Amino acid sequence: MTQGTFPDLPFEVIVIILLSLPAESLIRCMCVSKAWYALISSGKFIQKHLQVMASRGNQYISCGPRKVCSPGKSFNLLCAQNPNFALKKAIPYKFDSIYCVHVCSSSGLLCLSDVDNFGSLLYLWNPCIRKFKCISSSSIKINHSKRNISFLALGFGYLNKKNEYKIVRISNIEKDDLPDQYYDYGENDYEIIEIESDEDNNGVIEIESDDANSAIIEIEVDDVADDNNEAMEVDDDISDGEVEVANDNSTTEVEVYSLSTDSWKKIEIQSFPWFMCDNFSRAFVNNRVHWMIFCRQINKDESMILSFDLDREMFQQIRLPNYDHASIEYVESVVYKDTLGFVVIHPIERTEFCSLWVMKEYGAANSWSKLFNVEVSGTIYKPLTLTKNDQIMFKGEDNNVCLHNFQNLRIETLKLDSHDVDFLPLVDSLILVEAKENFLEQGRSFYEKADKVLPAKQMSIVRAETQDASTGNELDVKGKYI
Amino acid sequence: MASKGNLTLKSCNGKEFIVEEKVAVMSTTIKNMVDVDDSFAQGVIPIIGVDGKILAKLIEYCKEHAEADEDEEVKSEEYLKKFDEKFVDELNLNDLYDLLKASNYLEITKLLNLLCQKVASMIKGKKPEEIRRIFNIKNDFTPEEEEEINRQNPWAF
Repeated sequence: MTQGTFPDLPFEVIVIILLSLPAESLIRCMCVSKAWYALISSGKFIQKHLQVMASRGNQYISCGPRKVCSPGKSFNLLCAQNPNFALKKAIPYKFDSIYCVHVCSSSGLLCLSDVDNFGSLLYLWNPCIRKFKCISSSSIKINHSKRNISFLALGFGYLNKKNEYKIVRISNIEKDDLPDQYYDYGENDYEIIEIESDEDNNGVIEIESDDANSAIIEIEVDDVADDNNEAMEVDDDISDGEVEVANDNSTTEVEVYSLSTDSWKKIEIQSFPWFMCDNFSRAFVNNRVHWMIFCRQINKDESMILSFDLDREMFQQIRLPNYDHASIEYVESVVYKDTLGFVVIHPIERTEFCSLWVMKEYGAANSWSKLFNVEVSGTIYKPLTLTKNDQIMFKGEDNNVCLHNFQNLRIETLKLDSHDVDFLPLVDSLILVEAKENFLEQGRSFYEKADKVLPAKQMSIVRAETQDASTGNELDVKGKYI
Repeated sequence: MASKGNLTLKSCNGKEFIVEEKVAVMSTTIKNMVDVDDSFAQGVIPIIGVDGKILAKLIEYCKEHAEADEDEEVKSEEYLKKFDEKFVDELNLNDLYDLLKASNYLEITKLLNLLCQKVASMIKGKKPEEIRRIFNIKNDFTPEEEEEINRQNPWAF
């Protein structure tokens, strides 16, 4: 063979080879030829590549600084199989923020929020190819300096079937600070979701369910679109007692951002009878974001999980098992191996314990089970993240990172400074890649060829569940980078 | 003539292989031939463009996987993973190339994916120039255009 190692391979074979490459290599491959450039930057290729990578599980644990603006800062992508190995990804000097909260990660993207303008200044960031996008602001303006918000909660996730990234923002805004027309959604209609409340119970939602096994309390949704732009009515009775969030002077707004349209829409709710325990949630599973909440009941407040379905855009409550400990320092909703769970940190005498509960069958209350209860050394404030190898990551002494394996109880210390950094699982992806239109134009014939080749039968490595995505709408993000 | 349940495959250089039907139909192309035309199941199936050496390799791979599909306990996932690793590691570049083309033509999906992953691991981290040489691809970017692309992702080059 004189001309190259693999000359004249059929194009469909080239496609399968490229789909196995990490995003960083693919960026280099875009330079090979116009055909490759057009193929790799096509929406379909990006989606297929994401499916192939996702079928291998989260390959990385993103370990990034909260202080994103200083020169020389970079994200470390720890290899999920062995966190002692890391890839360094320098941050481009384009963030408008100094400090960022790492809100959540989903299918190749991290959602970050500015600390001082939490919930208002948001970014999507793909450290694998060092691209980020500043999210256009919502028409509901939050005045952070006037502190006109009593709470703000965020959630982020990727909808596989629709190939869509969404952010949900729940904000409780003081009414006094709102101008008469405080939001303007133009001509667009938005979906209205009404929470049906039982008037006899003073607006408190009944959480008794007929099915004893069902932990999910369906909240009825009215799909009728309405252009009623007025602030919603809040039942006076809800303001009594400990539910501080729903009083006369404030209103709760729920908004959803979608990346494909790069716009926000408002979700109409009648009441929001929950007290949010979390500002943001990393528990995204089954298309739903999950926050820990208090739900006000007649006798006492009950701790629960509130879910928001990013696809159907509705709330549900999920009951928790009886996880009583004498004292609880910390509770957080988590995802463990694609299952909803929560982590509890509780001390017994002078020792800290960490337990993980998982809901084996989503929605079934009797399927909650305690997976482990491990003793953790030192003073633990909260776990950093769960790894795919049955390990739970904690900040150890001297800012080291400790990995507690809850199957064999081994403890490993990583040589990694955990000071001011945050950890999130991450899938390798090309999402947010830039493409020059003029090159696409020239490679058009190849692009069309790629289009035919991509949904080919060769894709058996893709999990059955993700194959549905090929029927969804194509998300085309090229050129969206700002 | 192959006995019942067996098929005869003939390479392009005239070598004949008698294989169990379940092994041969790991190839979608052969499966379609047998399903459509019964005479293939009785007679000899010519495998165009694949020589005896490569066909023997293909059969070796399909045999292991067909048996594993039949009885998961005999050949665990772990065993197959080890077999696959050894299988691709022992290939020289010429055989890898021939197997890639043959498994694509015969539509042996699992093997094609395995071989493609092997090639991917070989080009991972390589510069565009080296990748062009490996696949015999002509650079159709002008130097100015190339520079423009490099500017988009300066860290990658």
